[in-house]
Amino acid sequence: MSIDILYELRGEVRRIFIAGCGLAAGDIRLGSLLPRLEKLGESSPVFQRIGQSVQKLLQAEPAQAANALMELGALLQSVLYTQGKTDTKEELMPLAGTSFMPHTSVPYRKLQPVLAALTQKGQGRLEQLQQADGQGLFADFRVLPAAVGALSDSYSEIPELLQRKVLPKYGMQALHELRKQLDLQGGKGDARRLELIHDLLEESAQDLLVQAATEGSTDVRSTAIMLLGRYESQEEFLLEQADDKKKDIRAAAYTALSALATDKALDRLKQALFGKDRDIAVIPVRECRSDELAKTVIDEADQLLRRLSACAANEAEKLSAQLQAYLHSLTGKRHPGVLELLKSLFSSQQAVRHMTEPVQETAADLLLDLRLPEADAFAVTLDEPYKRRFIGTSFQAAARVMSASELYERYAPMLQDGRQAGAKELRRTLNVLSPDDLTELLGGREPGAEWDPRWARLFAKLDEQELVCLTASGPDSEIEAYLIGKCRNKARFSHYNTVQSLIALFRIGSKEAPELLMSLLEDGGQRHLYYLDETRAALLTLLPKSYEPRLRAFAETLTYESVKEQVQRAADVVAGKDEAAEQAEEKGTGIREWIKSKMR
Amino acid sequence: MNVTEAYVDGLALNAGAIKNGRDLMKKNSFPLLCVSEDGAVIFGECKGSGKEPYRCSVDFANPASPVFRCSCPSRQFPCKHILGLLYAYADGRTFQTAPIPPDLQEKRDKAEKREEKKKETAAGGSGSPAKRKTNKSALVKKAAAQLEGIEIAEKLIRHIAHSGLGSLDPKSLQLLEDQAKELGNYYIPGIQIAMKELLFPLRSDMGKEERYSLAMEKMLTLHVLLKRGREHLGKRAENPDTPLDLETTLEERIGHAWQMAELRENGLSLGETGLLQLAFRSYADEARGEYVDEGYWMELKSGSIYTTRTYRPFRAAKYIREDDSVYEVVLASDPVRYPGDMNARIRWEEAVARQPQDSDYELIRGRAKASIPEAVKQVKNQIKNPLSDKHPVLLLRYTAILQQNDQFAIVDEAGNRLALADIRHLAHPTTGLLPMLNEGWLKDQAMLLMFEHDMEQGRLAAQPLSIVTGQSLIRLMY
Repeated sequence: MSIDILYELRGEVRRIFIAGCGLAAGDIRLGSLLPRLEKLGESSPVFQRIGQSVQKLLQAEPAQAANALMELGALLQSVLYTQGKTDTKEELMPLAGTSFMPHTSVPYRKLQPVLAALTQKGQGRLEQLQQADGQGLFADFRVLPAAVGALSDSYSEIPELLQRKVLPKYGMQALHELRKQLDLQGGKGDARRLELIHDLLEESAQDLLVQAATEGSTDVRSTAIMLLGRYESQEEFLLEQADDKKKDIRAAAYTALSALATDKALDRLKQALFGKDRDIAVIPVRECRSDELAKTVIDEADQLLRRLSACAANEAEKLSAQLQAYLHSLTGKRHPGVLELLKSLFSSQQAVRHMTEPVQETAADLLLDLRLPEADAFAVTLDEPYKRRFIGTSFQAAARVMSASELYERYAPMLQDGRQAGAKELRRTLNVLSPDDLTELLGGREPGAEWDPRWARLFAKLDEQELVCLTASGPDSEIEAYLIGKCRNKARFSHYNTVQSLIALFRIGSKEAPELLMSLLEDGGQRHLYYLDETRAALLTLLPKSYEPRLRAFAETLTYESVKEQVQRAADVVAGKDEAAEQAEEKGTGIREWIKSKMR
Repeated sequence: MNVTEAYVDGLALNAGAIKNGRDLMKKNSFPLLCVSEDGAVIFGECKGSGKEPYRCSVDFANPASPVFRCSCPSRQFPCKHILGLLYAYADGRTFQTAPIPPDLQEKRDKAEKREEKKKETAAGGSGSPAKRKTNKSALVKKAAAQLEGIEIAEKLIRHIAHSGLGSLDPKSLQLLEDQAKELGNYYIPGIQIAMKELLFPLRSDMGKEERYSLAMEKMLTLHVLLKRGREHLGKRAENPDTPLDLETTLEERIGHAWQMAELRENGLSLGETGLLQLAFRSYADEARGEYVDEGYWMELKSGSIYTTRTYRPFRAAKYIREDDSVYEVVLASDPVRYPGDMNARIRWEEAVARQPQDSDYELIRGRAKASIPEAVKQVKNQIKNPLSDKHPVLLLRYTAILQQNDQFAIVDEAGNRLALADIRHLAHPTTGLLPMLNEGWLKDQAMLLMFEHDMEQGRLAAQPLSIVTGQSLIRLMY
């Protein structure tokens, strides 16, 4: 056809443009087109002109060749621009459309940054998307393709936000795009897409899930298998998957079987936990609702315990690792057999001795996690045996069931001698049980969670400053004197135990605390304070209102702008205390809530 | 005055300013918020990083063009403090009634006097403003310099054509770029940009074949531009009274920056005009070194589709208002039209807006072209001209939208089909959105399309930008 020769000619012209027209004169391939062009030119003036232009180029002197080439190119281009095809040969069907009324009312200046955040890399994208979600910008359906695409983003918080919060709001409107972008061979993003499709279609997505679970990439398969755990009809299929070569797939299958909890599923889980797949079966077993499964694990653990107490030393490590897995899989189970198992565990001296330390800890934690009065009572009795190895567990349980003074009387004697076995562990546990300083400053201590006053005096005597700070609770002149002494003696605001002492002084209501804090700041040579952590900043707000001017004056002496601002903010809080107390009364919230809101 | 959040958004120069202004309001950075007794002025104080707060105010003495004042040194105007003040007002925060501060009152009085004086001179000055005089010998001199520049440009592309695109290595490209910079001395900025547009793809990292095709096309355009420019400027060099070319974009392509007054003098003003924006986009033009904000508008009376274009040089982008999608009907008083093709550029200085009604959409849909072959013919007629806009935009009526996998097409009432595709020029896919449309929008509506000729495939493709139904405008781009 005559159009084809024009494209052929364009190919030659393009070639000469790339190669340079210095050698175009007499070009053979160009020349070979000339006869056909001239023939067509007999009946059409356009071809005639093109033919002439080709002729000119072929005969051009090197100096004129460039001009001739561009003249020919321009002419040819103009002609070709009128020859573009606008139809397709394909069979097309009318578009079905949807019943949604997607709107497009978000203007460019708001929409574009959201699209950029979804499709490009860079800082601050998550915050931007959260804000966009808050402003309802995602309601515009033009964001949808980009939002579905960003499920594959490598910054995992973004896909998480999109999957859990943003995309569910579209409802069925998102289905088309999710399906369109779903690639069963894809990665984690496609697993998320599959999950969203299943959220929308529920049961009717089963066929798709089975297809994904058979043909998909590992990520997609695992997700599909886990989702199939909701459908009993898939039992056979899931059991097959539990025999897969890939560990990830087996793990997914166990999760699904755990949700299914049919007899066959339970058998398969037991087989896994008691066999080679122990490690990946622990969590599925733990999360399974079946009591029968728990019972079987308890029985198995019980037998294992017996073997452990009788075994040779070289076998002990292997057995105790096995036991640990069983214990882990029982975490959170409310089965009465668990307590029985633990009781027999802790009373079998040989078994405990054969256990590695992590296993002992697991067992002790499990006992405390039961949170049953009976379990706690049993745990309390673990203070003396095993060379006081479980003193911490015992103390924690005792703190739950005993009064403050009983607790002191039972455990304090063990601390008299710091070197005594268990004293160190007991001190550590005391630390764990006390709220950390910042939580205390912002939230206050829970009423009733106070220590017996004798603890603080005991620690003062032992000169354990940190523990004095933790346990001091009520007005006590002895403790006050001890702490004030500590704060006066070479104390610095940058030392953490000074901060702790001050917090304790404020807590026990010492009148000297504010002055002590203020003078520490003023005389401490703190000019180069370059950072104030949250605890120290919150500590400053404990000052009474009358200290506001001094605090502000102190702020002015600081070199670093950010610290200056922090101190000024603390001064603002101090200044507004009366007003805050009123407000707090009105709203019924504590003054600490108010301080918290001000310091953030 | 009616201050809404959307109104304040519209005042802001860019998205960043919107956020900063809003944040100031959210963070309660305004210890003082006041409104004058007559309600015409709002003013307040905003905490800044310094000791003294910034004093900002908005004066609605003339509600159509409020006056903003702020004591901060920012070059962005209106600054974030003014925006924050307005957001606080739109948000319904409490504004105390207070007398206007004396320094602000002084400024107001001065402005009022200026306004009066202006009116007086306008009333006193008889009839039309004095016709501008032009220095003819300077014009001749300028044309001579321009011709000299064209000669240099011609030499450059002849050199490229001679040695071939394949022979251009980074070193020779650098040399060419340096020479292109030289063109800046000859009053032909348009040609200089065309030269940069030719060199730009050659330096980019796109595929080799694509690069060559694009460069060849640019060379051909440049060749024709230089040829026509030489003829045109040659005439002017001989006779400085040769009129400016008002039919084509030639003057602009050489580098003439049309002034509104000049266009008006040449009879290119449109009178009172109602316009509705059908699509908007903004892109970075690397060769020009500018952001371009582009709006496509239908003139309600004639059905012509015009373009608005704001250029924001990269370096000054922060200080120039970033254009935005406009949803209202704009009633522009006397806009001017630039010489050009079917989507000629227009510009206006004063306008008021009103909410669009169903009848507007009905009217616009009615103005759509009914026949695909005729529309295609019109497009081809334009793009075959080497110096034309190669991406015309048209509103077309369709009876149905068709699909098969990723292929889409529309059908007109005579059963002709037009294939739709995402075009390279826009670099922003929209066809993927079509399956999500409401079923009611798929029959007997109108579609705004941008065309592009794909030389390699021999196809003329059209990408949907928007859909106009009887009641609404669905924007597929922005």
